[in-house]
Amino acid sequence: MKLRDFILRRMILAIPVIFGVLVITWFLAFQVGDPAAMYINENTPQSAIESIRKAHGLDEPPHIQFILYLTNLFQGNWGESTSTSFRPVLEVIALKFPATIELAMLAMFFAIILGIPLGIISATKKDTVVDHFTRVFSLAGVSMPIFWFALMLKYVFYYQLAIMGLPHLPGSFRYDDLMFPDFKYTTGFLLFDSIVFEHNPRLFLDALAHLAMPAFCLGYLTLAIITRMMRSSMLEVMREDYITLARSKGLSERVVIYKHALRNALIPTVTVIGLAFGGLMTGAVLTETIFSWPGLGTWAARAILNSDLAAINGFTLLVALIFVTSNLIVDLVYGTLDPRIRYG
Amino acid sequence: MADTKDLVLEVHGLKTNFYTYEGVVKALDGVELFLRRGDTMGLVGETGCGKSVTARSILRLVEPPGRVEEGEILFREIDPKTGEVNAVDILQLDEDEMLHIRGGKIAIVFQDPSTFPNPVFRIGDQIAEVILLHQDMKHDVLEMKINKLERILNMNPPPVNVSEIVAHLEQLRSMRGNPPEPDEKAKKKAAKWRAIEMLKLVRMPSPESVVNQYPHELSGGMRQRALIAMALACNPSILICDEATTALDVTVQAQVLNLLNQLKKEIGTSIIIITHDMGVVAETCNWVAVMYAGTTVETCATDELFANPLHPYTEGLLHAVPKLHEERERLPQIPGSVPNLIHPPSGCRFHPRCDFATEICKTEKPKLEEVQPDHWVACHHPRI
Amino acid sequence: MSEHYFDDVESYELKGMNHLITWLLHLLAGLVILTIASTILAFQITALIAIQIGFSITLSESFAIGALQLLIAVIVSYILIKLSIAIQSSELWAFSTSLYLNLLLLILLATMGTIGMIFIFLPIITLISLFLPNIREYWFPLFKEDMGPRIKEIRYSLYLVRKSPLVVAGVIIIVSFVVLAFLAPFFTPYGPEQRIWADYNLPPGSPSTDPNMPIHIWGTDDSGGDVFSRIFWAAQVDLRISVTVVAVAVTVGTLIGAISGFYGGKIDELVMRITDVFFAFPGLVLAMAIVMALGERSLDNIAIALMVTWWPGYARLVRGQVLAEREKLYVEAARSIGASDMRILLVHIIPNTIQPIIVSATMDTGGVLLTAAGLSCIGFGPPAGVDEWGLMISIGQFYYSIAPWAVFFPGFAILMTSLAFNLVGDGIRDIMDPKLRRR
Ligand SMILES: Nc1ncnc2c1ncn2[C@@H]1O[C@H](COP(=O)(O)OP(=O)(O)OP(=O)(O)O)[C@@H](O)[C@H]1O
Ligand code: SF4
Ligand SMILES: [Mg+2]
Repeated sequence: MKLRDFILRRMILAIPVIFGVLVITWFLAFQVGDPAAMYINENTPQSAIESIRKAHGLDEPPHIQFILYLTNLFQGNWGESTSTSFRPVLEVIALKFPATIELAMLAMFFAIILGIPLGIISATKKDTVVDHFTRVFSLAGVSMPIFWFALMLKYVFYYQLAIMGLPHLPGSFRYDDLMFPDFKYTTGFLLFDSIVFEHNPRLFLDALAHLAMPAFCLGYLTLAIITRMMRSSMLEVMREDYITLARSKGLSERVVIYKHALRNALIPTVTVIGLAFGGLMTGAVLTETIFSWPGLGTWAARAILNSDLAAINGFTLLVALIFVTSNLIVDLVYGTLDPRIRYG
Repeated sequence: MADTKDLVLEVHGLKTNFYTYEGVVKALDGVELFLRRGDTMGLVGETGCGKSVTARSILRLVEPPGRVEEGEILFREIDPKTGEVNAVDILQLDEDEMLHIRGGKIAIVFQDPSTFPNPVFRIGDQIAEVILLHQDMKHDVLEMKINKLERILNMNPPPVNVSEIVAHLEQLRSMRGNPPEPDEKAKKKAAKWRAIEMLKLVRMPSPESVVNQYPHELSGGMRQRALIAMALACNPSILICDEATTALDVTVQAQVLNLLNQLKKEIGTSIIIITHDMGVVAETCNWVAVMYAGTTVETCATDELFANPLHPYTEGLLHAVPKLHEERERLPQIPGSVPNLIHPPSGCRFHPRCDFATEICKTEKPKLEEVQPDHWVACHHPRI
Repeated sequence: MSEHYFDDVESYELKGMNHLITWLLHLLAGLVILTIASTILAFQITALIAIQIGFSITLSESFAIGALQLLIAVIVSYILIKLSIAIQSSELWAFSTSLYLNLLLLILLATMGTIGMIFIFLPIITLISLFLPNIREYWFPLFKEDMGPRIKEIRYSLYLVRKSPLVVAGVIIIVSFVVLAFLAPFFTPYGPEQRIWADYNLPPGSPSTDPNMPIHIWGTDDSGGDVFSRIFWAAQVDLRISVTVVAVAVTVGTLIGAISGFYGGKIDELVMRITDVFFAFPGLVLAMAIVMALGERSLDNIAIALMVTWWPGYARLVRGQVLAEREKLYVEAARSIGASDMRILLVHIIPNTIQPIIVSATMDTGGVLLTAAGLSCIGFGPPAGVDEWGLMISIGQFYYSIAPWAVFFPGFAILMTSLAFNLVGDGIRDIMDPKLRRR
């Protein structure tokens, strides 16, 4: 009961945020270009331009257009993505969303699996060579130009291996459509589809191979963030009195670290993981572009360069929604990890 | 000192340093302690004189940059089967053997109940954890089962199959001498049950609900009781209370101290109470050790100390305690201040503040010697 | 001002209710603009007066600045008056939102230079005058006494810095990059934007086809630019962008955050909601959209976009710190002896919150460098040919299989610079953190 109230309250608090995002993107997009320009060329007669403007409500003053946009938004009409052959934005999102989420999930998985142990090791071996190495490794992740990293990965694991005739990782797209010409998306999550609907382990492996480089590339930043947060919160927790108490009980160092310290150190790390999920969306724009990944990131970058207003608006709205949701989830997880938090 | 077999703990020449940026803090230099079986010893001294460091050194819990440099910490326990006394030097043990001593044989209760329990685990789990660690739960599992059956038997209305239950109960009781090995789940349950028993022992109100609560849901006094329960959970031979009552208000403090003395009788532990409150010492301890700047300066029975302090520092310390029936304008103070432990005074560490200091005090460190029967003092000129 | 609105000049019939709303909206926007303009104006004039009264040195210069300010004020008021007349007569151009954006930009650009000058001159003059012998007499003994424990702390920090190899490495990298960037004219074999078209895609170490030209140490790119030289020319550009962006973001964010945290209440609520909105954006996408909205893809516009996206972080940080500091006793004490709000803010709170700001500013310098390079890499930067690391990668990626060095070296430069800033920032945080300090 209390939990439901908490979620409800958080949702209501999110409304102004989402609204702010809408206002800012819409007015920015308004500056980016004339939406009518997409429908016309130099041969279009003046009268046709007029009617196009009227049909799309473009002859109204901006605030009226904005209100029009909002009403459409609520009716499920997010506009047409002019850079994606005029398909409805929601449809394009539904198509591309699984690709990006699959990538982001895998990147996140990889970042958590590696980041938390690395952070713990670094903290427990503070100021040793291991610690220095881990810190440089994780700081390199924060300072890594993703687009460059992606290119370099591609150069080594795809191009170089390929010209040497060795087995190599694929450098673009989600699966090899020459090898699997009959494949049809069901849910859009390839790892899932290939096993559950297609019963095709080879497709699964192929999809995994295609995911490997982009996921690593995208996950590295998050990995770095998690490692650093884990290290510093672990260092802080290890100095707490309750760690001394745990030691005085005769618990072995392993239990002290992995039970008593870890549980407390995870609390701030979880927050960072949630926030980093939003960051993955930004990273996706760069990574997907380099790996020709047919996801939201590529779409968004192209939309902005092509002044595809509906797509820009749709993408930012979607990311803002993801951000708000992941924050909510973080708060819920937080509550289960830290008994001091009550949804009061 | 009578028979060394009576001594459950003996500390000789304990030396602990902290290697900090400003220099080496020589926190302990020649601490000597004797604790008799069943005694309550008070460890007193000004703030910063090294009481807590001593306690941590005994459990080898000194954390970097600190290090126990030298000394001998003899811990004697009676083998329950043979009745023999065997002594171990804690400083010579390896880390694995040390884990058995910590919590199992020597337990410690720390000063601040608000920061010591782990905030994310339930009180019951934190107590059960130490029980599971140090005890094989055979007896407890059995006792728990017997206890349960007895409860069922005493129910009102009585259960239908009384005879069956009684038979079962008899069977269980007959196994008391040699209980079977329980499974993990039963162990955990029994540990939890023991945790409740422990909470009852420390007079925790409504122990059944407290086991499932988190530390932040308890008051300071309740938390301190929980910490004591945690420390006593494995019937340790020695319980060290590092200012366990300082953070509590006076009435709760008195309750906890009474509790400790009762528990001592019930469980048969020896207790070290660290405090700077002479009143607490007078009320609860039968033996005292006085520390000054990292050394033991005097140790003897409590009554003896109050009646006949032999060390100039103890004398000053006792004068500083206000007495009810004596009206004074101002409390006398020991002139000067606690020395800097990075560059401690040469010879006797007390000599810059001592009225009786002579040349030898500046150059030579006095040894702790038995000046009168059962009364040890470290001073070149004891106040006999 | 978007052209297509000028095209249809025929007057536009607005109907009753709409007309009123439009009017109110415009009134609001106009007021906001006017407030911003006059705040900046007032701020600068005060600063000018302060400079003149205090030091009476830069008189002629300050007159020039003052005149510029006045000009801006006149232009802004003129435009606003014209605007309200145009709205009255329902002229279409008056309803364009781009009008306000352009107006704001005009003000920003025109004042940026002068603000910058004040920011630079004021500290320098203060510093110089502090060390004049007769002024020094007043403060130095007091300062020495006051700073005693602080100097000890600083010494200890320096000791920790020296003990931490990563911070030392970071500092060395940063210093060498800055020095190399400044010395680029003296040691790079090729000039900025110099091309030898015949030398395209040469591997590192190959001689130029032109016998009179030096060899290409790190090879050439697709248009025959010397990668080695270009990287160090580009260092100037990239370092300048990241430092400027962070400086502006820190200044704006700190002020807003401090005011928000200090006064609390409605202002605080508003500021926090605004920063919430910024946090909900994917930063890169917002920056992209701003660059596009500004009309031209260029480094300057990237810088402006990053300034806009980066300040909320600082506002949050400073607000949190201020809230914590405000509760502490000393503010109470200061208030009770009658210090003004501004004084408490400037003298007591900001110096105490400066340490986390330094840390995140250092680390953000690396972050901004990354983002700026990223933006120009995916096509939001200047046209090909400009020396900028991100752009070099952007062009090089099409030839990455033939000329990987043209991609590798600029990216590596970005990585190293950014890493250096992060190493230093992270190290400083570890060293400053009171919870980890005494070990
Ligand atoms: N981590 C540490 N680093 C450096 N010095 C330390 C450290 N811990 C303790 N010390 C030094 O050891 C000395 C003894 O400290 P300790 O905590 O034992 O005092 P105490 O007698 O328990 O005082 P109190 O009555 O205040 O608890 C102090 O003078 C202190 O300077
Ligand atoms: S040894 Fe000397 S200085 Fe030390 S307490 Fe005894 S008399 Fe005083
Ligand atoms: Mg203490």
